[in-house]
Amino acid sequence: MEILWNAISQVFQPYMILIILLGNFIGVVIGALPGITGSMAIAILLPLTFSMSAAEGLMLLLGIYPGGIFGGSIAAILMNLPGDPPAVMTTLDGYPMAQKGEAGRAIGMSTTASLLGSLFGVLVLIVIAPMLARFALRFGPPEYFMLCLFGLSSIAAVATRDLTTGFISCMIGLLLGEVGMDPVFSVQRFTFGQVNLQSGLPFGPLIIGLFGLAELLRQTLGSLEQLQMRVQQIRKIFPSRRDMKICMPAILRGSIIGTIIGALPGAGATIAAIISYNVTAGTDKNPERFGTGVVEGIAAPESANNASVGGAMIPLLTLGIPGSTITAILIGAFMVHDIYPGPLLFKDHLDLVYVIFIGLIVASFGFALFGYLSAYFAPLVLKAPPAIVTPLIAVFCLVGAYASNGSPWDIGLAIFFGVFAYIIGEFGIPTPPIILGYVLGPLVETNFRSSLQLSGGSLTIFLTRPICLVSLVLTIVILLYPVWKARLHKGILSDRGSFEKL
Amino acid sequence: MRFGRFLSKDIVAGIVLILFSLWVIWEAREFAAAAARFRGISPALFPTILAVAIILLACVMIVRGLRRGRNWEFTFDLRRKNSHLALGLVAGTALYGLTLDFLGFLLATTVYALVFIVWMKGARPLQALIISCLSVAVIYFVFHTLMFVPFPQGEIFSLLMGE
Repeated sequence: MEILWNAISQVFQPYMILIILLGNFIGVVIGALPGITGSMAIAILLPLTFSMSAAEGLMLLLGIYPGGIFGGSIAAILMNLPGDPPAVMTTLDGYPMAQKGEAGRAIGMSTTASLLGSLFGVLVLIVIAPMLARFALRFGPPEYFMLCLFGLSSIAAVATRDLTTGFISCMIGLLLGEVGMDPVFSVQRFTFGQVNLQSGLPFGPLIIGLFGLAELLRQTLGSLEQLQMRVQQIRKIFPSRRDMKICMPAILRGSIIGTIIGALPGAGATIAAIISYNVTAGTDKNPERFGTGVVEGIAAPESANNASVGGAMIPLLTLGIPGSTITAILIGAFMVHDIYPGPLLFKDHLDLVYVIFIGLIVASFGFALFGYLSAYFAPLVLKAPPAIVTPLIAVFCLVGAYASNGSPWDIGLAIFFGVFAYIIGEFGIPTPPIILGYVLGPLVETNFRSSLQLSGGSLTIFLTRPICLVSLVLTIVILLYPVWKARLHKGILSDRGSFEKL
Repeated sequence: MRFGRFLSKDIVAGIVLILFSLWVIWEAREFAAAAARFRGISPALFPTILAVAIILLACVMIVRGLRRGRNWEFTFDLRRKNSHLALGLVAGTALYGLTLDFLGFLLATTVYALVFIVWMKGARPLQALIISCLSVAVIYFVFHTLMFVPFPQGEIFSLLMGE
């Protein structure tokens, strides 16, 4: 108890609060900028922490981490441009809400869901970290493969209009994830001999092209007068009681999913957001509402991606295993101060562990503060004339694409994918499943091949493990539910028709 | 029987997807051969599975297209003024990418923003110039000064300075 009070008094000093808020601010801004990720920001700012004490340095970085994950949702809602990969699912309902004039409501919900998710993740980290870490270690390649397959079944939620084109789009995304050097044999795949493609298609230009430039093309082809977004009168920046009542189940589910998936090494915030969206849309009475601008479509992924922060800290602190790029950089921040995460951390530096716990809670409220402020001010940007905003968003897209690798080649890639997304959209093939496939593709393939290697080529490995089996059943249920529901609906209609004839 | 009667988006998309998948299978054979000397699951297996799945789904699209009949309408139409603007956006963006190293970030980005604001009739040229300069300055400050993103300074300035 004394350690806890010491930690609280250490974190609640003005200087420490200022450091955390600075980290939050940097995180939120960087998260909102396309092309710059939270891990880049942490890597750039890591040297700044060398001259600080271990607690101060970690507070700065732990402020950036959740702030960056949340910040991505702001650009996703306002510009249909996910600033960070974990915000991909937020664009699906966030941008349609902004188009309906509800940008403030959307950012308000995104902030609240992120705050609650983040707090949930940290509480789990404090209470049952070692237990969850042991569970996470039971995940081998077959379990990861089935988990990713479950993530891919989100197509049923994303492409409710037409599953066939949804699947095609997802397959194209999976193929895009194949581009580059093969991770096992170092054979080049689909690179056309281009050095720039050897490390795969970069996320920034791809997402900017598919979402940002394609949307700009669609907008310019429409009437400019129609582009003027309606902006609601912002009276309240906090979600209404009704919104909270609607979204609470989605937030709770998202928080649990995010924490568990965050604890799995290699999974992370993006997969957590995808699966949370999938489960929420899949279990909804009217899944076809999702993607049209429903507030639960924001609450589910945002609570999950921020809960994954607490989850990701579990293997890091308890086992010394970094599950993502950001936590790998964070390990570096520990080691600079001669502190090694793992079981001994709880024995030798328990005071620091408690400072981290309290710091993460403060950081959650810190980024929420900036989130609510942006809910108030950011939608006002949409009031600007579209003939000025559209070219400036185009500039923002190009700079984001360039910033990914500092190369004009990436601008070319963004243009290519922008035109590509526009053309396939004209043919009725949706874009969001491409991103699902692209994000999950490398994980799906690597774990599929590793599983086959383990089983000597037998597919039964996916049916003999309990976690795999549960994932498989859930995947089938989520995929078949819309088909079953459509048939049921058709049956009811035909029954009604025959009744009316009588 | 006129060909136009069957001109359906689903059929055309299905045929293109089948051709694309056949190309993927052909390519996969090549890197399967490159990895043949190693033991393990071939790097061609997964792309081939995906390509076969796309072919099957494309067949579903074609059958559906045949059932639905003619459907050949697009939002892009060269007779409309906005289509020219969209083409200009693509061409201008490509030109921006090509000239970025030569003109440098500040000049190229300012010109890009200025041209499009004026073309879209967002503001008068002088106002557009002020908006462009201010926006590019903010972007430069955030990305370059704060986040250390290296932007090209522009070969043109080196040439003008005689370096």
